[in-house]
Amino acid sequence: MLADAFAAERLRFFKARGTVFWSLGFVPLVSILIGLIQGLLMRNLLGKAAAAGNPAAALGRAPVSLLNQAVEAVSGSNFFIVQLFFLIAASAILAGDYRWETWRFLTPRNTRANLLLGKIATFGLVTVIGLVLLALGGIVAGLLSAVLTGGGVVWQAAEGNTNAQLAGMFGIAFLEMMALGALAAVLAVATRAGLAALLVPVGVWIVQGFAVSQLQKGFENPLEPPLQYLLGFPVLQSDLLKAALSQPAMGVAPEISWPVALVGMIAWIAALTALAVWLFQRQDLTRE
Amino acid sequence: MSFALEAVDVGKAYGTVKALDGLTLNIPRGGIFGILGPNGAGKSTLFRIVLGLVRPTTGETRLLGAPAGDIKALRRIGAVIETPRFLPWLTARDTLTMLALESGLKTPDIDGWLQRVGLTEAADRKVNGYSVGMKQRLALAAALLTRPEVLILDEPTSGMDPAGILEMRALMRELADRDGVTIILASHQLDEVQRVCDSVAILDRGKLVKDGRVDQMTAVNERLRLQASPRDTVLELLGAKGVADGADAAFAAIPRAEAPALIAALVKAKVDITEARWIGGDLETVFLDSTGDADAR
Repeated sequence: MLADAFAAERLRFFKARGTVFWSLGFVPLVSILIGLIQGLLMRNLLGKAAAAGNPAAALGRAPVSLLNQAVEAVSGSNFFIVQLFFLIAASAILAGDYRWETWRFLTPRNTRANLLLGKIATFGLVTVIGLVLLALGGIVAGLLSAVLTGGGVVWQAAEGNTNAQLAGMFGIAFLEMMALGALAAVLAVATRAGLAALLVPVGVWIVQGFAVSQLQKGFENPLEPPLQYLLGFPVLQSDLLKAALSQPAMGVAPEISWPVALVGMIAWIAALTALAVWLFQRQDLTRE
Repeated sequence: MSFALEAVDVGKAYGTVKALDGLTLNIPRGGIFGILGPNGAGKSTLFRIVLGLVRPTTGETRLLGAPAGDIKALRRIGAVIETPRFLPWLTARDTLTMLALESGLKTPDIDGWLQRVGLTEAADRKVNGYSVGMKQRLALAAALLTRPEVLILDEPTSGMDPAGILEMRALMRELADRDGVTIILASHQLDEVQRVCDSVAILDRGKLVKDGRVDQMTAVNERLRLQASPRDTVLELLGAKGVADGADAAFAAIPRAEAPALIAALVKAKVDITEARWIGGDLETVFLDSTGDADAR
């Protein structure tokens, strides 16, 4: 039954071409465009440097690591502007039936829990596709840059990221986005408004950024005891996971390890999803 | 007797407004059952409760023997309530495909239902450009997609052109008679209800005020109007069953079965009859009498 709801949600989302473009296609296209502009600028600069006999011109033509490009692009998904575009999809998926007053057609066909979980699962799928497109956008931008500057391309640089790190970064970015998606689900159900779901990243960015910076004031180590409790914030959980990914030996504080952060992120997603389902099951749908 | 819908002492309050006030109603399976009531009588609220969209404040409803909102029972019914709304970027075919997926249907007959409601030609057009009547047809196809045992329709012909209304009536009759679907129909159009419904319940201020078979309800207040001369002879023959209507006509409060004998007696008494017709035997009279709106006539 959950599979039925998931299939129905997938169909309706991918038929909404405008939403698909803005939530999935726009950011990768912009990253490719930025890569193109950077490549042109770099070619111009390297041309001038070579004409002047500057040895830096040769250094600037170092091969581009496509793996690094992909990792950086996926890692950049935690920028709140990028998150806003992902949340266009969350808003359409999670609050669309309130906007179009279509719940009354759906509720007799599946359980409310399945209907909402189907939506959250669809956002999960959209997130995976979006992250893949971000990575591809980064790779295409790297290729363009290499072509324009005359430098070659390699998949993995000697000192660069590994395939495992790309997979790890992908997983962290996915969890981060799903935590926002689960919060968007709670807000969409509670407010019946797509705008509330859409603005989740801005709210999270302001609240977490402000709260964490206030609590960390006066401490030399940003996560020394008792500040390890700040790890309750998903933004720090993902930071810790990324740190562990790039330098596995590095511990933020002796008693804190990355599995704790991982469990914390998953717990956030599970708790927010459960709250959204609980609210939706008790919701009066007279007013949609 | 098995019931399509049972409501026992159901109440629903929105703040201080009582949309339903201890409603008890049993709708048997089979045929077309009409629910009538003035605005605010509680018809739509009853449907919303049955479909699990809202919870009753008091009482209990059962659908095909299961509690309201039970998904197994809901999947055995189809419903079109209030103004149909659809996702504007989907076509009719996409909409039905999506709803079929949501219902877990493996082989939905989407083309068949589109044809049956007259939307074959518009099947691949976006719903955004549909008229209200076309949306009603699509809503009906969506409700029928699961081949329901019970079909709940709230004002199914609103927004339809006259030809569409006739098609809809014929389709409802066909579904009830040929496919054995129990249809529960709420409508403001008394004439429509009288034409298509077998039984009817009249709600007023959230309560049941009258229910029964349409033919029996309308027969109660049916009268024969006789335009005849001399009128006094007519009144004399009718006795207590006769009432004068102007100088040359009289009402006869008799069952239809007694009409031939009365006419024969009048002819024998050399009464000159210029017109004889049945009046008042309509649902409108029953409805207005039941809801206390007789003064509005």
